Amino acid sequence: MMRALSTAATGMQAQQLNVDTIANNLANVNTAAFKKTSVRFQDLLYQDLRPAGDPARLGPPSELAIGHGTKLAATERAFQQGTTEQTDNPLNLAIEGDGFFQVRRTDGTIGYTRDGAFFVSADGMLVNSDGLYVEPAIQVPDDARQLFISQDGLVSVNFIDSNDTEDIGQIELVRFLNPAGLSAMGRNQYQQTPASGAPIAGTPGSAGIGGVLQGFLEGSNVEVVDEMVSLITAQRAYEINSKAIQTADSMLSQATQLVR
Amino acid sequence: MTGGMKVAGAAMSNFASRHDVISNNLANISTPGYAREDTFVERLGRVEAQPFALPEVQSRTDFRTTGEPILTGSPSDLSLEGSGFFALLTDDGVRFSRNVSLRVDSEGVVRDRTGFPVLGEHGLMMAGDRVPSVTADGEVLLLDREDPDTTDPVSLDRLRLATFRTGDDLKRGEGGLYELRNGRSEDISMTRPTVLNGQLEGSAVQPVPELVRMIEAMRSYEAAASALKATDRSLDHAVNDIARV
Repeated sequence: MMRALSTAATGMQAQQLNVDTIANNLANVNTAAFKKTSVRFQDLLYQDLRPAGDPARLGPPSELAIGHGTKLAATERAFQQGTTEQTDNPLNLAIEGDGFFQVRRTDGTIGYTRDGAFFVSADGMLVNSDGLYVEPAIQVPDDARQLFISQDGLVSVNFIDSNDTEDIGQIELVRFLNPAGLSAMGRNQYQQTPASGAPIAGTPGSAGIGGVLQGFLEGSNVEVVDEMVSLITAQRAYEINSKAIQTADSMLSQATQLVR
Repeated sequence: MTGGMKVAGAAMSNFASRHDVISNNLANISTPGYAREDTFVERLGRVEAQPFALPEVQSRTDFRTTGEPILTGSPSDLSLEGSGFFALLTDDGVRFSRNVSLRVDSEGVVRDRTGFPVLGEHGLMMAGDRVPSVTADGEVLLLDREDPDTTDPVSLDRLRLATFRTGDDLKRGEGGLYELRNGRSEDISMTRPTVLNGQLEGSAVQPVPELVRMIEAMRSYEAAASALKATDRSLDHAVNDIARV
């Protein structure tokens, strides 16, 4: 049968996955610190139906290299900074530059996130919106009145009955040599992989790590217009591939009609 | 008589192969760095003492048409202006590519997004804990992560940029990687291409001309099918009608 049928089918499948990815980006246009993903296509292997003859012969080698279509090679996450939104909540932090917050997951591993919406739990600990402890743990005293977090991550409080401030902890951020290699786990968290390399810890605002901004949250870095353009392109590419299938089908039907 | 049928049949299978190649071009309309495959028909297989020559379809990679740039904004995405290729070291030897996205793995080796090391003029490139940055003439500078705007970055190597006398020296493989054909060699006398930062070369497939080629292939196929039918009818006539007494 004609290769064109399966070749064009790979094109349609890949474009469908492309649309799925775009839909996920659009669904997360308001997710805090969401990083958009894009897909990378790659061509598939080529079959030499008529292998080139004498290789030393000058001039074009006479061959027929027929490809087998396309596949999605990878989805790639773009870690560009999202928009910074002011919330005036003292427990909201945005990272300006590279870096991730660390949270202790229930299975004991560390999750990395740029979503800096933190809360104080019932036992006085600094937690994220899923109730996971910020790592290293920071305990907020019961009689604290206001909480201050400096650009370099120093957490201090003042008290109801006095004007003294006291340092209660330090926010530690990590960076990765290859953040694109992190694996997304949902809930705005990432996990380290061999591709990302080991986390390199540091204080905010030093050693290539961005500073933290109290009272702000990082928004999504999805650009709606860009995604819409990608969506239109993907849909048209899908249509074009379906036309290639129709054409192959009509050629096959003519071949069968040859026999009377 | 049967000669005509043979020629028409060969033409049909040629136009079907042509459509296979066009379908592959269309399937790769979103593949970065994809160069379209062009088909042409050559009169080959002429048999002595026969009046006809069977047409034979061939294909050739068209490196002259290049895709529109895709602006990614990521300085590690590199493409080339002008003819030439980046060199990658795969398990099967050196392969050539029009695009690379530099990554530094956990051992400090500069690799492409596909995981294959990107070659410099002195072989593998080790960036360690530094960020590689490539200038327009292909020089790889290592920037300090803490101080990327440093005035005197360390020069690591120059990217190995391969140039070829003709596109026919290369044989295409999957993943946009090309290999040197046996008996062919790089041509270092050609002008080195310029390295472009923050952009990848898009697919060279343009929908309209490709669809026009597809229609052409389909109609030519129809025409060959009609010719075959006509020959068949003549034979039918000769066998069943002329001999009728």
